[in-house]
Amino acid sequence: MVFSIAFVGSVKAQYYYDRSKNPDKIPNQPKQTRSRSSSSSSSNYSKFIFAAWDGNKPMSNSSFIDQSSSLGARFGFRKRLNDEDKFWVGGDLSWSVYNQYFPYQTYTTGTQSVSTDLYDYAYNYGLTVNIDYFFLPMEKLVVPYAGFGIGIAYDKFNQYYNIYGDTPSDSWGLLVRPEVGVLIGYKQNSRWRLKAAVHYDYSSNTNSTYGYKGFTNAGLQIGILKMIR
Amino acid sequence: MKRGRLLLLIGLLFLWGCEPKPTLDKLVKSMVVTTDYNGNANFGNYSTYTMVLDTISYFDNSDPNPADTIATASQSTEVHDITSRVKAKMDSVGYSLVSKKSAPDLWVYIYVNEVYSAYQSYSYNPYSYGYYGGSYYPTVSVSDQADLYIYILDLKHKVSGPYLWAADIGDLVSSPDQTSATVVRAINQAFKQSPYIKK
Repeated sequence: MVFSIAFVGSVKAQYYYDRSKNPDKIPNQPKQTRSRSSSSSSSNYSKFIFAAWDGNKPMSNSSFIDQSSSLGARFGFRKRLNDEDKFWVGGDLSWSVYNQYFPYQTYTTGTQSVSTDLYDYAYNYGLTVNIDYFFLPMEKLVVPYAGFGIGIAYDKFNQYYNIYGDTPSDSWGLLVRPEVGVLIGYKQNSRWRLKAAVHYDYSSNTNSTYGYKGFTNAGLQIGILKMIR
Repeated sequence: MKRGRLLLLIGLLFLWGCEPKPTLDKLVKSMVVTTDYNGNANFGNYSTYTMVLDTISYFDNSDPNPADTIATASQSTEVHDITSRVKAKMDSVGYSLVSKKSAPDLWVYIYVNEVYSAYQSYSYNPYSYGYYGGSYYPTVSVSDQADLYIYILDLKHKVSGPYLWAADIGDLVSSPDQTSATVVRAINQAFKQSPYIKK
């Protein structure tokens, strides 16, 4: 008796619930919901790619090149490491050209003297594996991050004077690159974003001809980023 | 992920060729002047010198006439400009020009050495017509370079060594200067960086 009353009551309660929304609705029909990540972020992007301008200031062997470089670029991609919107991993390709002009002057060693103007050049290439930690969910308008890259660097050095020039000398080395930056979207969870960061590079490349025992530089990176689902 | 790797590969190929260099017009606006002197020499021990004013030696490996080893002032105004500038500098530091029959202390010898070289290599083009679907094509690289040399030689043999002083000025071929102004400036520089040359 109690069971039958409870059963009848439940049927009426169910009918009452459905009727408030759709009296013709079939009970127990699964509700259509949008699938979401189980993380606290509602962003559904799992990858991004970017291209950036990269300006750098050399910080080693200033006697060869001391001038800042505005000729640089960085390309990269990241993939979300897991369902959490915090760690993203990927790779970067970087390129910078440093150059400095030394006006006409005389260089004397012993009984020999040479007068010329000089153009010193350093060409830097880097390929790194990177991991970034984003402090806020990706759906936010502004997302600061800190990153670290490790990989290889290829440096080529040359000195030009009149039609003469030294044979280019190059070297390979280990590259490490800590970085802090920010992603700025034009709206919440935007697909396109601005990427800005500062970084410090150290590479173990050496060059005895021009006096390098490692190459270090600090840089500013500004570019465009595209989020990908 | 594939798109990311493709992006990096494209970027690598694009950037690999991006190694800017200074343009030729910037590089050749001034000549390189190199000097060297005999550390045992005392230039104050000499008083007179001799040199030819209307002719300089000219060695050119591409000249079809190997016996043609001089350039004269009648052929080129640059010869007169070069010799007169060197004479002016020697006179300014206290030496006197005399004829070679007057037993001069020094001999100032000037010559130009021009080296022309052509290098041919073969490159393979897999897409051109050929028996096996490709062919080789020649590529030729040419370089032409000339340096002006000025030697001060000791005719009194007061010191040992091949020369008392030598100057190497280049490159003459690539200089955009259609007059002698650039090479004259270089001769001035050679004496300027050699203040020990004085009686």
